[in-house]
Order: sequence, then C-alpha cells, then structure tokens
Amino acid sequence: MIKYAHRESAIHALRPQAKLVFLVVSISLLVFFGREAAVSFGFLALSLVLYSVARISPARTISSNRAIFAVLLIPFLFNLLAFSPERAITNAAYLSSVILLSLLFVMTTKPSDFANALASFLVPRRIAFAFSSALNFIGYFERSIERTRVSQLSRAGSRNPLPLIVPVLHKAFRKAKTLSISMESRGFDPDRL
Amino acid sequence: MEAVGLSKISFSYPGSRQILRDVSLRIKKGEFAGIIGNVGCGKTTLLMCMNGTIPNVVKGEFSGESRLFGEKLEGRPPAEVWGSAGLVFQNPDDQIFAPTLDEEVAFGLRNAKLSESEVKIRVASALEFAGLSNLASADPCNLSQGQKQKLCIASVVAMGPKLILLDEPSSSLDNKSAEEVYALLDSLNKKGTTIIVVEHDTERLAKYARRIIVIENGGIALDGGREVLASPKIEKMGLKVPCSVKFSRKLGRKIAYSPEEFGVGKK
Ligand SMILES: Nc1ncnc2c1ncn2[C@@H]1O[C@H](COP(=O)(O)OP(=O)(O)OP(=O)(O)O)[C@@H](O)[C@H]1O
Ligand SMILES: [Mg+2]
Repeated sequence: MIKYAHRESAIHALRPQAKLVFLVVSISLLVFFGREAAVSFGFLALSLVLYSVARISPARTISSNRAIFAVLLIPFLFNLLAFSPERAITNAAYLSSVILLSLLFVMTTKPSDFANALASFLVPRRIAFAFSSALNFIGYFERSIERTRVSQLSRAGSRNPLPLIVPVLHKAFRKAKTLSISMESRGFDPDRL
Repeated sequence: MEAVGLSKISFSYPGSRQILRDVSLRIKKGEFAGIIGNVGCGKTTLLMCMNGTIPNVVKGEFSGESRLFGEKLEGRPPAEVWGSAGLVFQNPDDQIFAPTLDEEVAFGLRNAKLSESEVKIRVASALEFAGLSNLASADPCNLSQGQKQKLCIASVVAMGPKLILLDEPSSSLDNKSAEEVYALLDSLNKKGTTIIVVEHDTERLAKYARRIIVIENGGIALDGGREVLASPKIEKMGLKVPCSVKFSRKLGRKIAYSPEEFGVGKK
C-alpha cells in the first residue's frame, strides 16, 4: 500500500527534508549511473538495509504493491530478448531500487511532513498540499478496491476487474465530494494556501 | 443568544425538486437538539444550511437568510466559520483521509495556523477526550466503526467550535458504541457546546436531546421538547415511538421518555 506506516524507527524520525534530498539524489544517481551493475545493485542492497532500519518488511511491501512490480516484467523481458540477461537483471535492480526507495519515503513520512518539506524547498504550498493529498487518495483508493473486491468475491463474483471499476469510482467520487466539504468545514481553504 | 437562525430558507439542488420550503428555525446557544424525519426528507440538506455549506459550497437554488451566532452566513464559506460550527457527516469513511489518527485531528488545527506545539497539545487532548489516546499513531482504516466515528468527532472537537452539527452519528454503530458517542456529545453539551444532531433512533434522542424537530415535506412539522416524541403524528409518519413512551401510556402512567425514567434501566 502506498501510504504512511507508523513505526518507532530512526528513519521515521529523520527530518523529512533530509529524506527528500536523499531520495532525489539517489534517484538521480540511479538514473545517470544505473546501467552500472555496481550502482544498481549497490542501491538495491542499500534499500534493503534501509527497510530493515525502518522496520518495514521489503517482502510485504513488494507483495502489497505487486501490480507495480509486475509491470517491471515488461522492461525485463524486453532487455532479456533484445540485449542480454546481465543487462535485464541490472535494469530490473535499477528500477526496483527506484520504486523501493520511493515507497520507503512514502511509508516513513507523514503526508503533512512531506508537504511541509516540499514547501520548505520553495514549492508553492498549494502544489505541495495537492501532492500530499493525492498520495493520501492513492492509499484510500487501493484500500477501497481491496474492500470492494473482497465483497464481490464473497458474493461469488468473478475475478473480472470490470465490475470493480463502477462501485470503486462511485465510492471515490462520493468520498471526494463529502471529503471536500468536511475539509472546508475544518478550515481548509484551497484559495488561501 | 441564537446559535442557528434560519429564516424562510428554501432550497433545491440543481435540476431537482424543492427540498426545503420556507424553513424558519432558531436554535439557542447551549441546546441539544435532535432532528428527525423520513428518508430523503432533507435532514442532511438542512444541516448543511446551518454552517453555510449551502449555499456557499454546495450550490443550488437558495433563498432566505441563514445566520450563525447572529452573523449572516451568505458569502462566508465553512472554512471561515470553523470556530463557530463544526460538521460531522454520516459516514466516517468519507471524512477520514489521513494515515494516522493524530494527523487526522491535526489537519484542521494546522489549517487554523496554530503553532506546531499548540497543535500537539490540542491533538492529544482531543484524542484523550474521545478515548483514542493509545491509538494516536495507528492507521484509521483499522479502527472499528465506532472508533472512526469518535475520531471524526475528535477532529471537530479539537477545533473548539461553539456548535457541532452531526448527521446520524450512530447509524452504523452498535448500541454500546452509539451510547459512547452520545455520552461524548452529552459531556460537550454540558460544557456549553450547542449540539444539533440528525438521528433516526428516537430512543437515543429521548434520552439525550432536549428539543426535537420533525421534518416532513421539506418543512418543519413539529418542534418542541421531548413530548414531541409522544405525539400521534410521529407514529403516523412511520417514525419510531420510544418504547418507554408506549409502555407508560399503556400502563396509564406519567409519560417516561427513556428506560431510566421509566425505572427499569440502570441509572
Ligand atoms: N447533491 C444532490 N443533488 C441532487 N439531489 C440531491 C443531492 N443531495 C441530495 N439530494 C436529494 O435531496 C433529497 C434530500 O436529501 P437529504 O440528503 O437532505 O435527505 P435526508 O433527509 O438526509 O435523507 P437520509 O435519511 O437518506 O439521510 C433527497 O431526495 C436526495 O435524493
Ligand atoms: Mg441524510
């Protein structure tokens, strides 16, 4: 799930600005030098270390975000067929590191801290807030899909994704409407940010 | 002092029939008022008029004048009046969005531009009030429905509004959680907060509300003290008459509005 997960850990306690800088620098390094096996595997190993410091299980993270990781199969197969197995593996390590590090950032940083960190780097508050609420909404969306899926399965529904879409979108839409009113009544004014 | 002052409010959603017709309603500071009525009669709509969500956020054909603690609401969106009125919707899942309980409660306080240390203090005391202190860092998704409802109330209570509007706060709760939620509302009311609650459970209202407003066909059909719950009209409308009222009537005794008054419940 793409959302904050509370733990008592040194990484959770780090300043969000520091985590954001680290994430941006790591991803830049990976983008520029990720074709080097040493770099991509180095970062993959580093991510696993960071996960253990953050007390978050990388295996659980991968399995609950398996849709994202499944997409990695496409470049993997492409590289495997068009180039070489080494290149395919290095590339997979590079992409996995980017995703694992980004997920780790989201899972260890509260959205409001994230928004504040963005704002402290002179990102306009509006955009920072929109960003962090979008993140919140992704998490909500995933949970909503899961619940609807379970409910349909329990009513002998198929595994066909189509019947999922309508109720999930309907719920998300209703939630967005009510939530926006609820947020305004708690003093949130998007025009004044 | 008037907490809510609605004068001749009429409203229809874009392209729909008229929902509210010429509603005039005054609710004094410190009251605990319950609003009842059949499904779709406009209770939620009425509640949204009270803090200016209608017509400032939810648009439609609106006429009349709404005031909150004496001040006109027109042109003042809910984001400006949070200190006067807080609103809790029926379904907690539609309102909760933060990944932890303390973030959820902090949201409004940060909008109010309070200092981070003040936010911490208020979050802690609101969670304490709702009995959720030990769950401050937990994920709201994993709460029970009753705890979620309490979290929504805590998020509003933290902001210290003088009036709290609630839409069917007990509709998805079991009896015990509903009692707990109402006990919270009761304690707020005793400290001076005005409470207005839409509720279909007349037993609950009989126990806690001191004023009952019945909505029918977009207008106010009955308005008065708890004796309204014993009126024949309630039965005619298909609303539930509290059991204690029925029993005491049957036994020819003075009308009791709750099992406690009837002398059977625990005091
Ligand atoms: N956004 C909207 N657009 C159009 N019509 C609406 C909208 N919201 C509500 N209505 C309609 O207005 C009427 C009154 O709705 P409202 O939600 O105020 O009723 P209610 O008394 O709260 O009902 P319930 O007991 O189901 O909560 C209903 O018939 C409903 O279908
Ligand atoms: Mg309603």
